[in-house]
Amino acid sequence: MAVLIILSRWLHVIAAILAIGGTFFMRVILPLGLAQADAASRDAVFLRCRRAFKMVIHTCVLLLLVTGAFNTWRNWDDYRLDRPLTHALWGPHMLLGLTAMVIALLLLAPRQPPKWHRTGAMINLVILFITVLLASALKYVHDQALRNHPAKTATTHPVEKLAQN
Amino acid sequence: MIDEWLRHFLFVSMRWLHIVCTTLVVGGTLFFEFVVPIAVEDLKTEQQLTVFGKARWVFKRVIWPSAILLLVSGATSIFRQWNAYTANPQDGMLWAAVIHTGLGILALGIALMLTVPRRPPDRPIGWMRVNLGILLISILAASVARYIRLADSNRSAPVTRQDAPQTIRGAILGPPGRSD
Repeated sequence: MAVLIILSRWLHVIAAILAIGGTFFMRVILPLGLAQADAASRDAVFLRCRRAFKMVIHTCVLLLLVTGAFNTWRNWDDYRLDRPLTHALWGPHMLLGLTAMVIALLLLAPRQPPKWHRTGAMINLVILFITVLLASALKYVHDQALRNHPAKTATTHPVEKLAQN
Repeated sequence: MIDEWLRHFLFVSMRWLHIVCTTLVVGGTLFFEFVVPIAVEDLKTEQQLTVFGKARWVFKRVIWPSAILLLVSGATSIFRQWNAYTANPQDGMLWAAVIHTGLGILALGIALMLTVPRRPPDRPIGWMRVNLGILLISILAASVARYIRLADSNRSAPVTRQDAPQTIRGAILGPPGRSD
């Protein structure tokens, strides 16, 4: 069970890192790198990068949904230790994460990038940074709640009980 | 004692910075290594070098602040968790944290070595591939350290707030046993 919990958290972090780092690369680094290339080469390189980015994003969305659902299930009992604050952070984290996924999928769905792709990518980057901020605050509150109520936390989590059975 | 809200703000913002800088370093490295070489393979050699050179120049401006912020935010996190790491050295948490820190610093060193000099070293893509592997193992070690810490906090009383208020750690973290 420990391996599954660690793997799930690792994959969640890695998928988020690839999605945010990839968006930053596509929106900031690549356009500057291609600034001096001629228009035809610039478009061709951008489209090829976009195709690779699309495959990365689809994999990341799947991993984020699966590992996010598992992590929530695993931590749900702990969130009860400070319900108002943890839910106030978990809800917006999930909603903003889903919003960013929808925007990314809409941006990458057509064969050619839509007219609003630059604005969309920048908005998505801001949403993703806020989502990470909410996750950081949620982790901090979760840690504080466990420290302040160590005895209240179940020693055997329902998921572990399930695995033991 | 530092105000409570300031303490919360400091630790949350440091963690946020740590993750954001990691996304820029790891995501940037991955795209540099896997995506750009494939995307530019149809261009002429001079154009390929121009694109790589320019992207490397921009990446350098991202790597430097990210490396500094990663070190500062990582040091803050170690400072906060130090008592938890040293409370029970046999549980492996300290070793996971040491591996995370060591590999993270090594990866940052490689990233700076690849981007800071005017000329990239031989086989830059190979180096980036190695660096990506190191970064992934480093993040795995962080996940292991966190898992052990949470498992420990389920078993025992809080250990990170044992410092007296007159000490530096106590001034930042709050007096022992203080409830938030």
